[in-house]
Amino acid sequence: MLDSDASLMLKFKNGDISSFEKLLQKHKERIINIIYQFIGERNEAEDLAMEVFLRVYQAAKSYEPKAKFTTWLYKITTNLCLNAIRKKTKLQTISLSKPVSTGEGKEEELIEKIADAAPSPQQILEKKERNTLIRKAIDSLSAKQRMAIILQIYEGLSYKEISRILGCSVKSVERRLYWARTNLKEKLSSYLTMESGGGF
Amino acid sequence: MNCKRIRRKLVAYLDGELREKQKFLIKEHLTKCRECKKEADLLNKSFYLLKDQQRLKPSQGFEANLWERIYSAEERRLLPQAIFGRLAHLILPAAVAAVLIIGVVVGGSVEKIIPSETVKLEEERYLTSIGLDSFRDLPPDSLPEIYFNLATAPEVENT
Repeated sequence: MLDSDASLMLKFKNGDISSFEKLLQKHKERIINIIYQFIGERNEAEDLAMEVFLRVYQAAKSYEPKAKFTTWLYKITTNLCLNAIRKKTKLQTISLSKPVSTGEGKEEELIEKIADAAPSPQQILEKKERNTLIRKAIDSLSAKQRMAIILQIYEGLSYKEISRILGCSVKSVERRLYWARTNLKEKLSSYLTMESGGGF
Repeated sequence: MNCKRIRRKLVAYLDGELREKQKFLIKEHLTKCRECKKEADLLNKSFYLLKDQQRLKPSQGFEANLWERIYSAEERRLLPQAIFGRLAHLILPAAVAAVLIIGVVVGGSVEKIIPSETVKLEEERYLTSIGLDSFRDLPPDSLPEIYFNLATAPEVENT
């Protein structure tokens, strides 16, 4: 049986633009966040997310609901992210474990994310430090480990779904997630032990 | 299972991706082994630390920018078709003209490569190299042979 998103996509294939708009409304935030977690920069994340939806728009004519719509959508997202990272690495000859630049936009963005109505400067600083630490930890993972863990943590996907999106075996996903989580635990251990001892 | 093997499976265990038997074995082990339990707790904490990251909201112009991108991509895609459709009736005459131009240009270059004087000299050399001997292989009793014999017979002087 077709999932509701696949039905919308088929309607769009038959010329109903409003179905595409519904899909866009439903998934845009999710796609932006996946890419943002992967790339680490808001503008670039939104730019790539637009590219994802452009591909969806253009692929409508040839769309066949062979898998879940989200699996297809995440596949497009993953491929674009991996290509973007490859291009970046080629152009800038940077390593994936580069330290996070807190350049233009980034600091504001991190501050923006603080939920409290009126956080104290101390709280802002702590949150900023925590976010930088997390960003560094995520950036230290290989591109494939990073995508696997983003799909698992933020989208709550099973190993099987991740394997379909990344085009690898379930065993391979298990291995990637094992190394990713172990590395993250190592990188965040200072924060985690501090936190259990009374906060950062 | 020993601690090393348990730790290799801890992530999958925490993610609920193991079969019942393995799940049971690890659960049992964690109640007894303090080190593995500590490892599991740290893995769990790091998971929730990442999960609790606040999510970004799309910027205000996201959709407008997307539609702009879609329209310009569509325009780019349709432009060659539109141009082709408009100029379709001109394609045959244009192709004929192109062939003629190419012919003239190539012909001109061939003449430049082999000057006409050289061609004339070659022709003259060929013609002078042909002697009457070249016509000796005419079929016997054929009309050309009769003419040839008449032409080459020594003149009989009328005395």
